[in-house]
Amino acid sequence: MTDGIPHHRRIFLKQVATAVGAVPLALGASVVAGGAAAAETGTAAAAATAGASGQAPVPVVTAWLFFDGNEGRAAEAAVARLIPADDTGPGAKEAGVAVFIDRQLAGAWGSGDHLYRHAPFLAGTPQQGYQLAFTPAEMFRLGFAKLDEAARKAHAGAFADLTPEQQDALLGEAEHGKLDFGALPSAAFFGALLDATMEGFFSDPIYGGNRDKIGWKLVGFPGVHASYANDIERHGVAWTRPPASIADADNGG
Amino acid sequence: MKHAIAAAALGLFAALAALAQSPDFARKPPAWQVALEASKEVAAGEAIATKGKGAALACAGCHGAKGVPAAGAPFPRLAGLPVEYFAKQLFDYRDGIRANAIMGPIGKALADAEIASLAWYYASLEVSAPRATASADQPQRGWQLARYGDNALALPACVDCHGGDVTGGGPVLPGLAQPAAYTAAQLSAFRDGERKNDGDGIMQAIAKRLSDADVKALADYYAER
Amino acid sequence: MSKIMPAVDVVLVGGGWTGSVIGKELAATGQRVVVLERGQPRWTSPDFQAPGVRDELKYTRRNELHQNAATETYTFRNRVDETALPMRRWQFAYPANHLGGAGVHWSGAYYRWDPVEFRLRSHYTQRYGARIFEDGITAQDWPLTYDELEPFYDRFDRLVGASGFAGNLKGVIQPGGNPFEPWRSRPYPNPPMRVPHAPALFGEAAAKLGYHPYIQPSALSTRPYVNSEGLHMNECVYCGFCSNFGCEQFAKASPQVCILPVALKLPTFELRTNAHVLRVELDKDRKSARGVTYVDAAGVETFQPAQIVTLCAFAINNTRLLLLSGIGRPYDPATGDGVVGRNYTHQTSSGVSLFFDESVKINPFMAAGAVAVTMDDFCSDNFDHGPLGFVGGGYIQIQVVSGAPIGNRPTPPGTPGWGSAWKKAVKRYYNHSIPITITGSALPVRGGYLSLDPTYRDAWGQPLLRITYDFPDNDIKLSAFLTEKGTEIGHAMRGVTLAQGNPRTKPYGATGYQSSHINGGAAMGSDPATSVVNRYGQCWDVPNVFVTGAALFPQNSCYNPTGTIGALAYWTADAIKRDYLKAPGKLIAS
Repeated sequence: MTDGIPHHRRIFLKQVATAVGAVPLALGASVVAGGAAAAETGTAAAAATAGASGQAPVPVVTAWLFFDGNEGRAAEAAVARLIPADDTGPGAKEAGVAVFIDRQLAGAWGSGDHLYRHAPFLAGTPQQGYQLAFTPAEMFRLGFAKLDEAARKAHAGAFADLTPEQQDALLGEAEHGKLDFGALPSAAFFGALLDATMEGFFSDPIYGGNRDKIGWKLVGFPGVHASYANDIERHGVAWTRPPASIADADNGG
Repeated sequence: MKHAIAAAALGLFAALAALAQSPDFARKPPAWQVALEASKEVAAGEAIATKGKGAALACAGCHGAKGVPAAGAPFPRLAGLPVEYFAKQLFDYRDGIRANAIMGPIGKALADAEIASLAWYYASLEVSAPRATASADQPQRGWQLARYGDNALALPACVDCHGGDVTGGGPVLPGLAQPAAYTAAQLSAFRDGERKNDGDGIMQAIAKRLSDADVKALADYYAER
Repeated sequence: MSKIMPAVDVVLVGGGWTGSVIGKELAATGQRVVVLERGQPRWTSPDFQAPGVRDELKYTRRNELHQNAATETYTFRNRVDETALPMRRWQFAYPANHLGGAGVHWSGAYYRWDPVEFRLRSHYTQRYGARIFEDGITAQDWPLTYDELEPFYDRFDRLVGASGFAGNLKGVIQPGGNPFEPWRSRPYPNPPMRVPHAPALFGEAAAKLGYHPYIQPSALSTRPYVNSEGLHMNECVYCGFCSNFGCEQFAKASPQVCILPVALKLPTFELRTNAHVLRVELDKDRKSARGVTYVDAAGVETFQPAQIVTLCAFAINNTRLLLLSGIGRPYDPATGDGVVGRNYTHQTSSGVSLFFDESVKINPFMAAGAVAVTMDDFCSDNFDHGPLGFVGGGYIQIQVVSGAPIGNRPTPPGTPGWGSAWKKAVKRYYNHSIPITITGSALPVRGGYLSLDPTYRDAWGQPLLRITYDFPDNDIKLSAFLTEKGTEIGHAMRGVTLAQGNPRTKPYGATGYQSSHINGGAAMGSDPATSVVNRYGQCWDVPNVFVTGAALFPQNSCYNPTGTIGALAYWTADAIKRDYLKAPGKLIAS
């Protein structure tokens, strides 16, 4: 017990590290300050971030596993518009949602491990659901490239370099299928991006998004605190305990 | 049974009209909740905790000056307990729902508002769990029960409900970091039916499936947290 | 050339509720039993313990416990003149792929079916005339009655530790319970669930309008309980990670919690996991099964000889196994001939979105799969269908199932789906919104059926099951009626600022989740011309093959299926023990 960690806890921490999957931080890592990132998007958001943690922002290392640098920038810019930092608090970018999406695309989900992939791929009725040949990884790769292409065509800049208003307009066109992404309907890409953004904003922080439980704090979800037998019949009583994540619980609360 | 079915089918509407009832699905808030909402005077709580009040001895005498008992003492840590759990226990002592020769009379000497003040006071204290120096006999068993439970005994992990070792899992679910003697005594009391203030008996049923060695393993485990 | 295993008396395909119940019952009489489960073994401890299990992304969004659509899915079309296409990912239902089956990740909603459901065609015809059924509806009576099944419901109640307040004990209506409940010989073994705020408000409003709200029964134990197998269940703690999750508490009934530990101690009971059954093998005369062929955990094609084959896979996957094995005549919608695949049904669900003022705190995360206040005033034939012109009904309720926010983040109609306006709305309404849910019955139609897909195949090269279905007008009328009633209740609830009903409309689709209650294709009946199996689940054409589960349902009730599936499993096990084993290979006389 020389490191001050009880033996059984050390075993547990090791298991957790294995389960979550060690992230190789050396992979073309760039260091950004979480606080600085928030400050870019407005003082209200920065204040909300600082206020939430009550301490100086901790530098965050972004290691892209799937995205190249351009895709990563586009992803961060896009999720920042889908869930912006504003007077309700920090948004998806501050919550690490682009990091979440990157890790998901690099993993089994990105390669379609639960997606039926057999041909023929035919156009169906809306009731028949998703019938494209793309895995999530293929779709996001093409989608971000096409989004940048559309940005350059409309405004002579990469998507990440446009103004928020220009970005919103392009995202809105994608949402309604008005951008030409070739074989990929832009509405399908937008839908997948929005889904992944919500997942990243609201899933457990162990996946890289919902950093500092920003998403859970926004709505008041308590996370993994979850035994309400004593509380469920106390109607109308607000739940005021701070949210807890899987990682917090592993660390003894 | 056929006649009953026929009656239910044909005379249903008449039968139902006669059954006019106004089910009330709401429950009254527990008395401790009402008390906590009515009174939040930390200073009054501190005065009772340190000086006592009539038949209610000063809490600090057993539970330590800042709610952390002396090392080796069999008394629970009070610092940082959720107000709801703290208040419910004192109400239960007072009402005899949780039987204890020392705490029963203390509870009876306290008014609702005084219990609430004590709860708010102790919740305001910085949490510092007592740390045992004695090493556990069965660290692996204690860890297993606390973190994963035991499938063959149908025991869920302690942390499922009790959450963080110090912060706990909810308003009435305290963190379990407590002196070993206290934890062992409570598990034994639940097991032997001496402590019954656990709702529908959830802890009594769990404790009945713990061996003496399991109780010790858990007590040691949580003494180290 | 397959590897050949030593012969056994009984092989069961699937280690869910029915495989576990029938397997244990037969093994206990000395029959040598093998259960082949295609999924992995997972146990309450350590697999479902917190905090790891409280992971919405893993279990709900990434389908941890669901059948993997990449390896096996369904194809779907609305009509025979369309080309069916595969459901490439699950949005439609959540078939299971693990030990315990959907009996692990289910919600625990626990019902008996109304006596009328078992005599649907004759009851409605008698009361309203034959024309109440629109053309092309193929609904039919069951070959057994509620009264016959009651002792088996009672038995399953004690296995799962059912929680509720009896509304009808031996025909006597009990104040405080559901007055529409079918009669029960005994009370529930455990008291009803606790009632959260929103269901209480629903109950208050429904009672004010003259309805009969009650606390929905569940298969979540509400107190420490020792079940009929001597196994411990703990008390539900309302953790809110229930539907799609394994229960950490040994509180939600599952085969792992309620029966498998006892079965596995029997020397005659063997469980093999990661064993994927491809088909039932028949004798040359095709009137008797020899056993089943499966792919074992190492990928080796294996033949398991057996005297009795029991299909205990998920719901309509049993229908697919019949089709893949050539058991029974496939249904032809053009002629109406054949039976296997006939009478597919799902559910007719709808909802009413409710938004509250900020004084009403819903706390949606204090939840369980089956914690609700419900009313059955419009279920079954509890109301006069004469002027309405449709058959069936539905229950109306508020249930609090989950507050996990990837899936649960309601915003009022008209709110944008993203941006600051969305963010403000989700913050404002997360704790102040919950829907009224309406679960309606579903009638089978002549053009709705299950068959093998001619094009798409699973990972083992076998044809996928093809679903061809659209709602009958009957069910759309039903949904409009029920949703209007639900909306009225919503408007009568305290604190509601907006109530918007969303009735079910055509077309039926594969992209929206209604329930995982997908039924039929192996209807139970008394006439081999309109059913696949007899009243004991025994195949008319191959008498040593038994079928279990929701594939047997000739049509769907509004009530959740598991109670009836469990009762039928005991019913079948009893018939095998009592009658079949005395005259193996023969149809059991009715």
